Amino acid sequence: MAGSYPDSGIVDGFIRGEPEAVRRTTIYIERALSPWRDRLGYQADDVRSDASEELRVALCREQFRNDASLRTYIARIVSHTAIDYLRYNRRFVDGDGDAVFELLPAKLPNPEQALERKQLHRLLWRVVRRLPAECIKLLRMHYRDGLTCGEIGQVIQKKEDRVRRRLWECREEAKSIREKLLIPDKRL
Amino acid sequence: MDEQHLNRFRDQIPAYLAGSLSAKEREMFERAVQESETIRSEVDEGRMLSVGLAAAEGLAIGHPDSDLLATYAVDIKTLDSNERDKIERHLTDCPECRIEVQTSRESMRFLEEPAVAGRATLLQSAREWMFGSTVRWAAAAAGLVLVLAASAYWGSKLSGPSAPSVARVALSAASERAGRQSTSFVVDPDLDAYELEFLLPTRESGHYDLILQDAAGNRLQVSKDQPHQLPFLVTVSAELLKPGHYRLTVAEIADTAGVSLQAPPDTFHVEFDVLPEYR
Repeated sequence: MAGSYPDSGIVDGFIRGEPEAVRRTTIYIERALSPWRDRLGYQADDVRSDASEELRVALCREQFRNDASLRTYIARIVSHTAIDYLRYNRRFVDGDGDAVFELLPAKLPNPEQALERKQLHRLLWRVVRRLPAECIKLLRMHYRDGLTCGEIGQVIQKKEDRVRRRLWECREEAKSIREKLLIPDKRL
Repeated sequence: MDEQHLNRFRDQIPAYLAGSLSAKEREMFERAVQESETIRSEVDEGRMLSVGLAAAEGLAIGHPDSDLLATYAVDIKTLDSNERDKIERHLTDCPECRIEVQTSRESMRFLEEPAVAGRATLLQSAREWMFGSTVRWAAAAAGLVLVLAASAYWGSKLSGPSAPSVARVALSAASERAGRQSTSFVVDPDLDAYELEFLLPTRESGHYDLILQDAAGNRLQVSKDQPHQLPFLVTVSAELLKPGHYRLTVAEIADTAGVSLQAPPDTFHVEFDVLPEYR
């Protein structure tokens, strides 16, 4: 499995879009997903897609630092993604998610309007999962903790305008992720 | 509306969504929402982001962060001793997370081993083959042809006793949907035995007694001192499993080889029904 192709070769090749490197990472992801499949059911496809995207972002942004093997890194990504999905199911699908779904906006822009409330809730959660950690931190401070841009600026020591600009970028990124997730498959 | 006013209303969006604006502020804000398309769309976006953020936050309540748990399972050396201790304490009381750690380790094994571990399920074995080389595919195809040919030949020639016919049955237990899914299978009169497969959050170092009982509580089969398995596999003679309701108790042995458990022993129950064959 490891073959003679070193991790660094796969990572560099992946970034350059070489088919062999992409194929290897795809196989690694599939293998890592194997023991989770039975419990995930049809959601295994979403886990694969989210894990692949996380790996792509991590490799392209050079977040993989070779302090573990690439396979260990992939096992970690696939496993924590699968754990998130299983926890989501326990909390919002098997648990009393109905109360949470009540918080969803009554009126939505298209095409989100076409989704059922449970599908929409899962979509919005997946969007946040895919956002960069820095965006999640900023958005959390703003929307969950209720801080204004000026107050966030004081916390992270950035100018108010810069924070406002970054928040806007994060919202745009969220919108773009949402659109991407909506296009390939409505089965959310 | 000028940029300064827009920004003032933008800053009020979280408070508006949380319902914490005063009546007067709320009235002014709602007027701004009606007048400005920009504010309206930012309120919608904010509302959707708030729901997504709340869902993400809710998942880790009462459990370690999923990435930390996966790191503990597959790359423990990168955690400091505090993080490790905290997770290990949590695992003592959390069967759910024990399953996640075990499955994450399986994940790593699937990446490391060229061949499938013997205890992997048949389904997983089949999937592993899917990613093998073309040589393996060819070997598998050739093997299949040989097996089919040999079984056709010997099937017609031999009338003596054959190998016992066993079917593997996957039971849902301690899974995400435990208690919600009825677990049942239809009796097969042609079988000699059933191999019951189920996933339980047992401890890796643990040993267990497995007791199969019928609906009346009669003990049909007892397997003593079984080590932890992922998944568990128990072979039960088909003669024992007539149509009816059954309970399999998996009880942890409190004192294995003189080592007492730090936590109270776990006991799991797997309930299932054997249904009569279709007529």
